[in-house]
Amino acid sequence: MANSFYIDLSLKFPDPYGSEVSPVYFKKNITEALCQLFGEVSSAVDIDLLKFDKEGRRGILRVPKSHYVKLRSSLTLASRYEGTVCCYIIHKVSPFLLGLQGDSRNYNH
Amino acid sequence: MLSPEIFNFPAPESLFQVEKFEGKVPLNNQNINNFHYNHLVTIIIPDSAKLEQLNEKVTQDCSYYKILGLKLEDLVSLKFICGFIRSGKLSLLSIDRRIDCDTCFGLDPYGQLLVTVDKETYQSLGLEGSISHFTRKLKNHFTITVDLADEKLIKNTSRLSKLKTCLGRLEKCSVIVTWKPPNEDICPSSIAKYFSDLGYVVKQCTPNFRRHTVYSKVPDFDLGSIDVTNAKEFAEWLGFVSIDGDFQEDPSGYLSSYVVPSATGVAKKIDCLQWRGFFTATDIKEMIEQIIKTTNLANLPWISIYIQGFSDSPVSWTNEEQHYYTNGDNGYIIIFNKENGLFCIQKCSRKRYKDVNKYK
Repeated sequence: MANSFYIDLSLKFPDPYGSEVSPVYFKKNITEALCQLFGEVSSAVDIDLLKFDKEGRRGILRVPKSHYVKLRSSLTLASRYEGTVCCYIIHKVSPFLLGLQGDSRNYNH
Repeated sequence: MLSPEIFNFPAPESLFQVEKFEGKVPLNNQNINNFHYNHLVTIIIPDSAKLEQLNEKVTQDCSYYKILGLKLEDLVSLKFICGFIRSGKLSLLSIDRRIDCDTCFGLDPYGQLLVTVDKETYQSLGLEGSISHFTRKLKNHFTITVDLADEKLIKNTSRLSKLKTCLGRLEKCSVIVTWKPPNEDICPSSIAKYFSDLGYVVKQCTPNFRRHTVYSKVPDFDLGSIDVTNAKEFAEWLGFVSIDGDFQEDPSGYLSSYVVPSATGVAKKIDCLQWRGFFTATDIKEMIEQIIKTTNLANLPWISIYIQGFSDSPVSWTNEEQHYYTNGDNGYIIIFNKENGLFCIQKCSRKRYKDVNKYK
């Protein structure tokens, strides 16, 4: 996909040792959040989970540019993961996948 | 129920440009020379064995200093201007600041002090500046440029003293600084001693190095005839390698539909080396030279070098202002082999100056 956005995000629970999250359920929850806010057509968009870290519940998503704003707003409003309270933290977003490997804003010199 | 289209905001625009070259990497290229505040360098090399000493060779002169709580007025003393700004090449950048809401400043190797401030700070400073190009309607950000290498400034003591008073109104800020002396007899750490003698806490920093290896099929693009779409796909694949993504194809296609573009043959070993810190344009050129010397270009299909700038530097290329409310990702990739190569330039916004010459 030439025109894509890449989102580096993690899933947080009130209990840091909360539920174990598999990549399939992580993506399912994101798709559900999109469906809840924008309906079935939007939830049919190709979202790719390029990388997922089980321990940190952190992943990198690829989404078409046309649906980036919708996905971002869905993630902001998403509050449930399999019945448990949760929220998504967006670490960085870039239209360039190479840009996600480091952010000068969080770097400790 | 299918939702009606009541919410359709466009995604932020960015710019991706491709420039080709033939022969050796043009180290005097303006994309390298005019990009002064570099934060991250990533090298991706397929199937190379000579990488063991690359880290030491590449970063041997790349240490820099962090100064805590710097008062900006200390940059305009006569001793500092004559000893460091007009002699050698000094690069300095504010850190732990956000360009969207804080005062950010930088000093480039040509002695230009660039400060971006909000409206309230600008009005309290008493320095002449201009409205930021990107907030002309709102008029809430201002940029101030002072040429500290200007001969007239040094001779005019009253102007220098006024400048010192005005900059003294800005709050203290931590900075990172690097100085290349005019000749080899002078130690680059003189800058650290200067600030240490002034009573500042100075910390020496070295680039942070990380390396990983992935096994993947390699895109088979001809660098001589590659078009923008293919270059984007290549850059995406390089990004996939750099984040250490999962290259195993998902048979169900549910998690990811990503496939390596134009891939042929079997999976190969790909090395990814990454340095993070503070690099000047001169450092970058020396790094590229070292990489070319260390690796054997004749045996490699290509080498890629990705350079990313600081998100909160006051300028990106030359004197082009940094954009507000973006991720600040400005950078470029150089992909080359022994015959030819290409520069892929990524800018974090598509907004550009209408009259480019005015801001040069």
